[in-house]
Amino acid sequence: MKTDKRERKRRENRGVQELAFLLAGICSVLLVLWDLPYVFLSPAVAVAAVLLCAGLYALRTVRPGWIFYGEAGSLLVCLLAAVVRRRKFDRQIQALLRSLTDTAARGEENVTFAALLLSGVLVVLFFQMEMVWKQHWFPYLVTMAVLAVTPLFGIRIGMLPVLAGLVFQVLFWSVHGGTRSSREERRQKREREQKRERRLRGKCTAFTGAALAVLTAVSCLITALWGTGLSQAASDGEGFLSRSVRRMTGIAEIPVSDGHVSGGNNYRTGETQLEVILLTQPTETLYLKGFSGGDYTGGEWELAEEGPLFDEIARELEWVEWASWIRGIYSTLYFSMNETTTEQMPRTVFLHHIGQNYQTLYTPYYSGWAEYRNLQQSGYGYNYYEESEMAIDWDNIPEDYTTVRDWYRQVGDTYMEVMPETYTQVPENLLPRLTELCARNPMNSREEVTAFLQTLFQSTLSYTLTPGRAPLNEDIVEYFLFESREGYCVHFTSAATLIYRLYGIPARYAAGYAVQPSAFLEQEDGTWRAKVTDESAHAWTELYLEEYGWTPVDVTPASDGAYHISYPGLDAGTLAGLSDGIRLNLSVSSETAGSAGSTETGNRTEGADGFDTFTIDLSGYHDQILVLSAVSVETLLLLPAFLDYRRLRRRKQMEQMSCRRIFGRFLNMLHDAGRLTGCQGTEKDFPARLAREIPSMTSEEANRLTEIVRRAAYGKEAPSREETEYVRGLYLRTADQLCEELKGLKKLWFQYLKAY
Amino acid sequence: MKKVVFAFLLLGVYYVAGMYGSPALMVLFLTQLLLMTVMFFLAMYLKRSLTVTFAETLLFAEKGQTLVWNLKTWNKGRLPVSRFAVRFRIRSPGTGRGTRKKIYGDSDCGEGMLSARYLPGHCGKLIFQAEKVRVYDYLSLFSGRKHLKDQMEVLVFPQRCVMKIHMEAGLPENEVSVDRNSFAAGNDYGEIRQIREYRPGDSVRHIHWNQTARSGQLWVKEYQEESGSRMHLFLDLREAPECSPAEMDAFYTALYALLSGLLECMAAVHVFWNEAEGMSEAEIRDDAGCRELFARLYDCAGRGISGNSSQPGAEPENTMRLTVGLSLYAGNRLIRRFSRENLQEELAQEVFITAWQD
Repeated sequence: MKTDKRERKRRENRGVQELAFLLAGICSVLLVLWDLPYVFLSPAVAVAAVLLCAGLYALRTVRPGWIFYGEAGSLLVCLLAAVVRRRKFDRQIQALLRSLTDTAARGEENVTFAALLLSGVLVVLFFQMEMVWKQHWFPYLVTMAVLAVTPLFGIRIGMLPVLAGLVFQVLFWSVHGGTRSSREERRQKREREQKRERRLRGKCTAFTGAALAVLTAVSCLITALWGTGLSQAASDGEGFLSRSVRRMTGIAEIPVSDGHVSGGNNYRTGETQLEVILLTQPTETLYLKGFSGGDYTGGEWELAEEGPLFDEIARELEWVEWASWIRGIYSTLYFSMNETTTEQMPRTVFLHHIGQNYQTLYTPYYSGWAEYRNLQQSGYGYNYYEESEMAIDWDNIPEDYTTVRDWYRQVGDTYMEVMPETYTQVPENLLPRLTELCARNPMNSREEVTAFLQTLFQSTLSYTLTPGRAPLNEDIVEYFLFESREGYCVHFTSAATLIYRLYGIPARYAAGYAVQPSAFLEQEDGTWRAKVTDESAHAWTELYLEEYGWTPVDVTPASDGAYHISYPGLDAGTLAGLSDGIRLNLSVSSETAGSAGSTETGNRTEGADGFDTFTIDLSGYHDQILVLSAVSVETLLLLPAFLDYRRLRRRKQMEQMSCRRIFGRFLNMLHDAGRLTGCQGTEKDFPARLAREIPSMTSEEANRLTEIVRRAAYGKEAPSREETEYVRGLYLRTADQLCEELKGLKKLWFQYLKAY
Repeated sequence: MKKVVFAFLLLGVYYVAGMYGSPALMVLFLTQLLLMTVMFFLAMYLKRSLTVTFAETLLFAEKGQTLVWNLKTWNKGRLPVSRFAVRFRIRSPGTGRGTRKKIYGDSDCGEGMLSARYLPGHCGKLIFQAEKVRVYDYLSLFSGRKHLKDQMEVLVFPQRCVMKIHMEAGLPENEVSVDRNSFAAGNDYGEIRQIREYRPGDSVRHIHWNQTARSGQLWVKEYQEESGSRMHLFLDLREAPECSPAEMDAFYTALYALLSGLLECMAAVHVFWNEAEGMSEAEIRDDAGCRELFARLYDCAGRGISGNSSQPGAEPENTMRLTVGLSLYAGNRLIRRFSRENLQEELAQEVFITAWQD
């Protein structure tokens, strides 16, 4: 009767345990829902989910046959509620989806109703799978998927959903025996003793739970100590794969320059993509442009299509019949004018694509087409000037060139008039935080904006090729500027271009190669050659300067973090002066920041993500680490007391032991102390040897001990209480003596770990 | 497969944790990775701790009735084994590789027993050969494998079936002669005919203890002989080596039914057959004798019988003969040829044994 009661209680406890594990899983999912940006829900959702779960559990306990009706009823109620309040449900579901997918989602929506119904369905689903069908794989995958996809949508989950998820995933797994039983196995199991099986399963779950607790603590420590390294390893792994695939497929040799602003890492293969040959030694960085960006469409720059601009120029100049000339005139305007008005000889550059893929051609600035140097070799060439060699003098030109000069001037001036409208466009709805940032920091001139840019970038951003991945539902430029604050050329250039445009300064995004003068090596034939790899692939901003046209402005810092933003007309001294005078106002309103974004862009720890922020984020673990350390210290301090208590308890337990068990322990003690090893206690000369080994024990005592134990083992009558007490007394005396004789660690081991 | 899926899942979580810089997900990944490692070592530990053997080495079963057999487990470790799978092979001696089966179980610390059931499909000797035990960790991700060499024999007897036999006139007198020692062990005993003094060789079981006690001298009981009490049955096993277990099953079933039917009519059946070593015989008087005979026949079938040596020798005239092809002869006259397909129905029909001479 008593056993039945105890068994029933144990079964109930196990049922409650399973319920607790199930609730942990449901809470894990709900906590993620809680963290969704731009939406909020009432805590009543969690309460309702817990109540529903507990209700289903109670129903299953009291009326197992009714559980199907209970679940069906719950689902029906959810369905009916969704149908009756269809409009509200639709709106809230839309808001939930928007919060996951729409980068422009702003404002907070109450989604309690939809969350309530969804959690109801989730509870029923999990309950059916775990408690009725005993199938853990589906809920396991659901919780794992929910937790794992959160960063993809910019949701930063804390430790609570993860811990709840771990408890649910691992312990339920252990409860179910870690596998889906076959029908045969279930049949076989039914035949077995149910009580024993439950007890055994309980032991396994307890072991798994203890292991889980310890491993979670260890994982927290590892993450705190080496989290950044682990993240870097993930990047390295991805990089290795990416490089290998590109090399194997031959993509690595193809030069590609486009307007894609990558939301991931930049993995370079080091494969040569271009061969650049100069006839003279270069003195400046050679920018080879392959792409010019017009409109920004969120993570992507559209190719700058200048056809409409030239049409407009033709209309403005009333050159409708000569409209087709305008593109040609404009493209050689600055090179031709410089060639005509200065005595400077143009430089010549030849480009050869290693992969023989000439889909994208790369053009140096201030250039015009040159003759092919060798018809038998593929490639193309330009005559060009370096930026420092540009010195157009519109008035000092040969007489026979005045007509052409006038054409150039008319085209140039008209281009300057019509171009700003195109190249100052910004999709402000995609970039609310950036728009507000610029609005809060008014600047008046191009120089001031440049200084602002340099100050902003220098104080808040850092350069890395592996900034990690950006969430799918956030604009990459806003994510870069306000959250990750780490990136490489495409991110810096996109941000700078958009900032210039927001201040009304025409700017373009350009991508191609930036080849340093040091990359060129002099050849025997007197030319200068550079093998250009994808490590020279670069992006930069273009500003339109009156005497230069579109001019490259490199806003990306060097790898050491140094900024050298420059363009003709802006000297370093002026820029430094302007930068000193700038007081950054980095605050953005919570409305534009949304629930996911930080409210203070200057505070790098708020909502920061990425590799170096890993360690910053770990400050959130400060408390846990502190608690863990405190527990460890406390455990270490209490360990001696615990071990001593354990030893005393063992000795106390010996009062209930039989004579033979005490003797068995006595023998083990002797062996562990290195005495009489190999003796089983049954040898004839055992008493004599024992008396010799243990000086405190006389021969008579040893003989009596052996005689009592022998009688206990083989005699008809069990030893009396006094005799058992006598054996115990000898054991204790011997243990104390051996303990005194042992030294150092061996003594500690003997006394506390073996607890003799 | 499961651990591969699990590993890929963890790899995905690690990738997301690393690329998106999520410490919480990194903890999730690390915990499960470490747990995976712990489970691997746990599986190895449990494998070393667990020993599985057959609880019995010889079992008897009846065809068509579920056999309950046991596996004995001994877990010498400190942790229970949540799941293990024993793979074994069931085969008939002299046949191919047999069928492979798997049984799942668990084991607490110490000794344990795992019961399993098996429904024998045909008569004969079955050998349960344990091949391998896989001991799983608590999440069944990893398993430690250990080869087993334990073996258990199961003798499957035919289902109880009694052939209805009518002994009719024409049987020669000597066929029913009394040619048995009424004091031989295992005899069926009729009424006591007389009490006589003990002679050396008499069975102790027949001592009349009351009379012995009264007289102080050993007395034994002598029983009334039953009439028509013995028949000879020759088993023609020449075709046995070529027969499949299913065909032999039909033979055993028919033999059992025949013996049971004959024992309804008479006290004993003298069964004999040829083996490679020579003639073997058995005196069948009851069901226990039948089973003993079958055990010998199964052994004989397992060893393989030489076809040439199975020729009937100098058999008595009143001998019935049953062939593996299910033909029943009285002397040289074919009484009945049973078919394997409808054996049960045919066995239920009456068989008339009328004459011995052609």
